[in-house]
Amino acid sequence: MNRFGYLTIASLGYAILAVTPLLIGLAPPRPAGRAFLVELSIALGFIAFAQMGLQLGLIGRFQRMSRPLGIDLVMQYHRQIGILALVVVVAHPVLLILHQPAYLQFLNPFGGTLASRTGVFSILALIVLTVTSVWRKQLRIGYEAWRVTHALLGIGAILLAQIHIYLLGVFANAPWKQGALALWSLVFIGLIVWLRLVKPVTLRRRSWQVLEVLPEAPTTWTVVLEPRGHDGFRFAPGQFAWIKIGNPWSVDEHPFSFSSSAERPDRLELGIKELGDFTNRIGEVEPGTPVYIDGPHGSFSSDFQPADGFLFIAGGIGISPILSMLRTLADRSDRRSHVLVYACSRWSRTAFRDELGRLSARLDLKMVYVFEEPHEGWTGASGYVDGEILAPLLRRDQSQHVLMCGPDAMMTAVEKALYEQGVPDRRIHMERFNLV
Amino acid sequence: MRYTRLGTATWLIALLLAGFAIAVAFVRSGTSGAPEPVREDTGVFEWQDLGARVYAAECASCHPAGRGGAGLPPLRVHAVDLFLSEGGREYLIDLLLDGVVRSEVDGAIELMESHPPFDGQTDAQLAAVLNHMLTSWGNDGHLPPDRALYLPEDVKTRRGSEGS
Repeated sequence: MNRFGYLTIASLGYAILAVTPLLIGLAPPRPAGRAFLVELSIALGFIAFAQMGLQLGLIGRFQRMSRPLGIDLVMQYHRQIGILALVVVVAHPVLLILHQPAYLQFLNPFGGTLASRTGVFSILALIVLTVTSVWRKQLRIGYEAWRVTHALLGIGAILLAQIHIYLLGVFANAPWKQGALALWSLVFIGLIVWLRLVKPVTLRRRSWQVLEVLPEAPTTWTVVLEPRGHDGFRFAPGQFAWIKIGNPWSVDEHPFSFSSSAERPDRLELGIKELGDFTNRIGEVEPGTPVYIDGPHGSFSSDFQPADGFLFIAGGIGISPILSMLRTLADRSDRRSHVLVYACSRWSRTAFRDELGRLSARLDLKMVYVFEEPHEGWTGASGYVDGEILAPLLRRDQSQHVLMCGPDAMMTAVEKALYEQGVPDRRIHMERFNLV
Repeated sequence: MRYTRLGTATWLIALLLAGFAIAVAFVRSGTSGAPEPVREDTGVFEWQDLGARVYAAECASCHPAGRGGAGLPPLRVHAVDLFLSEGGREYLIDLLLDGVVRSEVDGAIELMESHPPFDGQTDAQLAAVLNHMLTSWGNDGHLPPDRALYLPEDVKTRRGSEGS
């Protein structure tokens, strides 16, 4: 099915799910109508409750759901709609208090009824969840600790909201409705339990191990993996996977792009730069260490675009997926004309220089290096990638697609420059992953 | 660009869902055609249905099935005690109209915090819900058979007077 068809069905499905708990509540035996502010508060409460469950569905990494849109987009949506849902959840008690100021006393987490208390604590859990996610780095919360608390707070908030609805009994006023709402929560919580606890079991059967860890440049490494007991892993060049080192239930799980050729499924390589707690120690990983792979994910690949040639733009470690694409194209003896613009801080920090030299001999590949701090004698481009550097590289007579990967700020600036040069949006592809 | 589109799509989805909630609330808050509780031919105050509905809509969330909670007194038995005590009949109406907070009635009843006022309800609705409360959960077993329940006029009278 084409992308438009997929989007239509996905949107319809999502809309129906978003109002399902509300419709269950409104089904017979139908509670009597009350004042507008009260009804609005309850309707918004049920829609926010639905979104809480749907949030778990969105991060389930279901490939068939995410591929047409791009999993990075789905994750980004999880973040944005989560913040909006919190606003709606807070509106729920605010509207009730507007209707009846005496209800203010029910905001007391130690007073009121058990029904009001579960509601208050559900909202508090969501506030903590949102604050720790949006400001994780500023609050100096470690990534692994954040992952665990995020899941627990989310599931806790859903369970408390469920109890809140049940205890109030106004809309969950029949056994079938109570059962239906409980089933709703069970499905979504079950999804997450499956993803985090059960799925890793299947990962164990197709595990990998570290063959070697190679230094590429100061603070950049290649981790080479070989399969244990199976023939390997098919992926499209440019895709990535969530990698766990050590054990399948580790919360130390990070997405990395494959840098190896897709034509070699039995030898995976990951290009990793030291950027944080986890990656800073990547150089110390011992050969033989077990590794578990959840993937492939991502819609960023030369395989997915019908182009006459590619303009690759890489910034720093963003070269990894692009390296995978170039190596794959070379292994397939690709005949098209390609260009690589590789932006780095300086020559001495540039990873994979020799390899790129070899690849440009095997492919019709023009290499353009751009250094922020050029060394003495450098006559090539310097500073940042801009329209002036890009203009002569653009092929207006052909369907040339741009595949770009690098730091957020670079991609935003380069995208703008490409628009200014007249490159249409549908021929520019990139993936952003800086969510938390 | 696709991130800008995603942002727009997110807002659109949120606004559509909010709009749906507003529409649902608007439809549900419109008054349904409820039968007039005072019948023209007999002049009898038919409070049973109305009382049950008002109770479910306004009271049940804090007093489910006549129970209480932390800081909330129960209505089972307790409400009848209040009703039967000296000045209790007027007290219950005042409680609903003003939200209390009279301290003691007959020296035997405990201090209450505030109760939400429901002066927005009609006389018939308040009289009906009081009667419902006084006759539910076994409360009617504690009422002397000759004791009259409430009529809308009782509420109307009390609304007009000062009430301390």
